[in-house]
Amino acid sequence: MTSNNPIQFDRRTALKWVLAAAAALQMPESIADEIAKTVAAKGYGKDPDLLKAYTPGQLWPLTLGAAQRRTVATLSDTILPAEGEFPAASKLGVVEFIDEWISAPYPQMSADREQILEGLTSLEEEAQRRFKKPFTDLTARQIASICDDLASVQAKQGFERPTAFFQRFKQLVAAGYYTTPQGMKDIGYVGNVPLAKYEGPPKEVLERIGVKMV
Amino acid sequence: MPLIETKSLQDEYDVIVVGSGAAGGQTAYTLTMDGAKVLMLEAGRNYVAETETPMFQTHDQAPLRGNSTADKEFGFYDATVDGGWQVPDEPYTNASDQKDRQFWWWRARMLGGRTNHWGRISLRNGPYDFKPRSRDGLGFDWPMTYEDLAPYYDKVEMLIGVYGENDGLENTPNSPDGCLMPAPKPRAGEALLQQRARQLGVPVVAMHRAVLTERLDHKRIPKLLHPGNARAQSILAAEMQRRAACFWATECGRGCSIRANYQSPTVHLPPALATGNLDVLTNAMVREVTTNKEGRASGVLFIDRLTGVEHRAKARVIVLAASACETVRILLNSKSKQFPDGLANSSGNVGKYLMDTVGTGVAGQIPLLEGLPPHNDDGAGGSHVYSPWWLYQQQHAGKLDFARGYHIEINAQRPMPSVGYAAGLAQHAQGYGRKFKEEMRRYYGSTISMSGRGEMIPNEDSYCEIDPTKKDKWGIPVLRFHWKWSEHETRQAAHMQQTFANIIEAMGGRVLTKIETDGAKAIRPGGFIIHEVGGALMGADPKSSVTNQWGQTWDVKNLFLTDGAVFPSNADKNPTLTIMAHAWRASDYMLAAMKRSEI
Ligand SMILES: Cc1cc2nc3c(=O)[nH]c(=O)nc-3n(C[C@H](O)[C@H](O)[C@H](O)COP(=O)(O)OP(=O)(O)OC[C@H]3O[C@@H](n4cnc5c(N)ncnc54)[C@H](O)[C@@H]3O)c2cc1C
Ligand code: SF4
Repeated sequence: MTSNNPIQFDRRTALKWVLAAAAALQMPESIADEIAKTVAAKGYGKDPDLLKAYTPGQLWPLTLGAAQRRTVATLSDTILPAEGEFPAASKLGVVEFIDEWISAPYPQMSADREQILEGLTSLEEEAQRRFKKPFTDLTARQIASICDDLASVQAKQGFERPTAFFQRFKQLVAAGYYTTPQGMKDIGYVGNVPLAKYEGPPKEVLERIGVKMV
Repeated sequence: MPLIETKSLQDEYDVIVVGSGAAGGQTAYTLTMDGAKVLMLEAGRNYVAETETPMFQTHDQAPLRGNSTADKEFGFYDATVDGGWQVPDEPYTNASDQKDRQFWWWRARMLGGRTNHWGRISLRNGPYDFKPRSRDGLGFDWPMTYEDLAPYYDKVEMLIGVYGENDGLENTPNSPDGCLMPAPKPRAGEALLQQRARQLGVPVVAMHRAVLTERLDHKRIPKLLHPGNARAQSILAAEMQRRAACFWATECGRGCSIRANYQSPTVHLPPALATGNLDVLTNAMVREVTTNKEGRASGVLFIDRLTGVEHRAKARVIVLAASACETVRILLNSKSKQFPDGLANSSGNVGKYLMDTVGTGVAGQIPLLEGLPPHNDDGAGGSHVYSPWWLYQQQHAGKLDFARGYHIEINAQRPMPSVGYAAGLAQHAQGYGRKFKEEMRRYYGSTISMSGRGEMIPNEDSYCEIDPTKKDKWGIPVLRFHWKWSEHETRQAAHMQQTFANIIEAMGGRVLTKIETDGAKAIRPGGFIIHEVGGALMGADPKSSVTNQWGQTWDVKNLFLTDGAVFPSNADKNPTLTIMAHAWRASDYMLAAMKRSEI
């Protein structure tokens, strides 16, 4: 076996970690019920059509209501805003992707479901507590004041769970965004086009890293 | 792929081949090109790489952006059909519930088996690898030498197309001129790793992979592979012209619609079918080998997976090439009055000495690779470089605390971001908004990983047998696994961890994973590297081995095993090239024995 993924080269360990983390959390009953419901939905099986293009909601029912979707969009666009030629995350299907992900009938995604739904709720509570307004009605500065507290590497006291939520949410937003053609271009991926020849790295790249190639 | 149906089965074949992967593909190829009438039975469905491969699909077209799930464990676009660590309707069991004593069994149920999504790493065993016991007193020797198999390595390399270079390193054989294709240049990250690892005395050389970096030479090669056989030459020449060279894009694990890498259904089966000597029947799950009064194999009993109906097919010679564990399962399930312990099992050793590869990995982040000018390094869809084992002398002199070697598979590229890749980078990129985007761009392409792939020594505690109670959907008894690593393997895993950390440090990087000094914690479970071999070892003595050097079972002269089940050792070199070389050699022997009317 060879792994194609430099970071998540051990999916099994990652999965176990996610499952353990989920088990360690206390689950509110209503959410636990919902998870049970989703898990009962069917996956795409072991021989899906690989050539077809899929859209979220096509294979299993989605979860988020209109208000939750707006919150996810606002938070996603705060994490990955529009910049030059590149649109904001919500314009690249990231909200639908996150909804599809937390609704999926697979253990790895079900483990995220609880954390994301709970995190969205506590985000709303925090907006109400600080500004007496729904999260989506906050000004950019108000949103930043909340996000600054959640984005720190070391969770502030009392913010452990929201910080973990933010971290995971950020990963999902990045996953949704950088797997689109625009996101790939943004990050600097060049490829997926047939070439007549493979020349190796350009000279300026080799100079930068101080390597001479024979 | 033109296939037959059960109703058009012929009354009798020269040879039945069970399985259509690397072993079955090579066996059927060699036999049919020389005129034998062959029936190939494959448990999985038909599969056509030319029309089914999602070559350029981007992840946003897939469910969950293509991420792995319990249904598609290596990602949505991975070529595996009806397979994975668990196959619906086809369970297996582990005797122990202890975490470190589990065996994981990866299968694929499709024409071509796991050759559709394998990594294409194609390394030759070296001379030491055939005589490990003579060298250090452990495990078993092969009843053949490197020189015996070398001509077949040459042939397989020329037939399937393998890129690589000759480096003249110890126990890492050169191929004769004209066997290998040019290797692609290292990517930036690979080149940096090469420069720094060499400073530590770790060689980094061109990888060998079954990918065509140029068109096959259809004028030269067919003559060399099939001397004196004009028909075979012209069939092969025509098929070689239907394979394109790699176009330096897309992941090989999805399969290759232009047939530029090796998959059995795009390389072995087309010429075999063109001979008119091959019938392929899919969805045919072989349950057992049938025998006659004289104790010879007479045919097989199989179940149509779609209807559940049992059928029989007959042949003069039976070849099991269903992958190591499945081949063992068929042997053990072929019980009769004459063979109460299963077929070819007079030694009592069928199922014994199952091996996998020692595996562990380390990831690192390299500041020197940050923020490089964007450039296309898709390359040949897999690694361009690797490190062959370099400490033979120290090990032989007793300076290491483990007996056998490992090689390093290197991953250092600017990949098309996957969910796992983007999420992994996002874990390291700080903040949110523009700052976060900038960090993502900066870190992109700056992470690398190394995976150790090491030799496991066969032991008494790693084996499989028939589960006393459990059966699959068709009522066929399933396998139960037993597993245990020895300290030779766990200490080797610890050595890998430390070595990889040193290399990352030499690159000026930081290690992203926890470095384990306790190898038992670092080592992946048995079977996890998917290099399982053994279970029906070849040897020189019928009392202790299952087959001779040609995979011919000692007990049943017309029954042959051509997959990894016969391996007496599992060198660090990935097994598939050796499986194919053995299958070719065994098939040549079968053809000669049939001509002499010995079988
Ligand atoms: C992700 C991955 C990466 C890998 N990378 C590499 C690599 O880089 N280099 C390397 O050398 N090896 C690699 N391997 C291992 C390689 O795939 C195997 O060694 C090789 O495929 C073995 O060939 P085989 O013919 O024995 O078995 P398979 O390829 O598994 O084929 C066996 C076939 O037999 C069929 N079958 C099984 N049981 C029955 C039955 N009862 N009746 C009828 N048919 C049956 C199966 O359905 C299957 O199609 C990798 C494997 C995986 C999964
Ligand atoms: S990288 Fe080359 S060999 Fe691999 S799938 Fe793409 S075109 Fe085929």
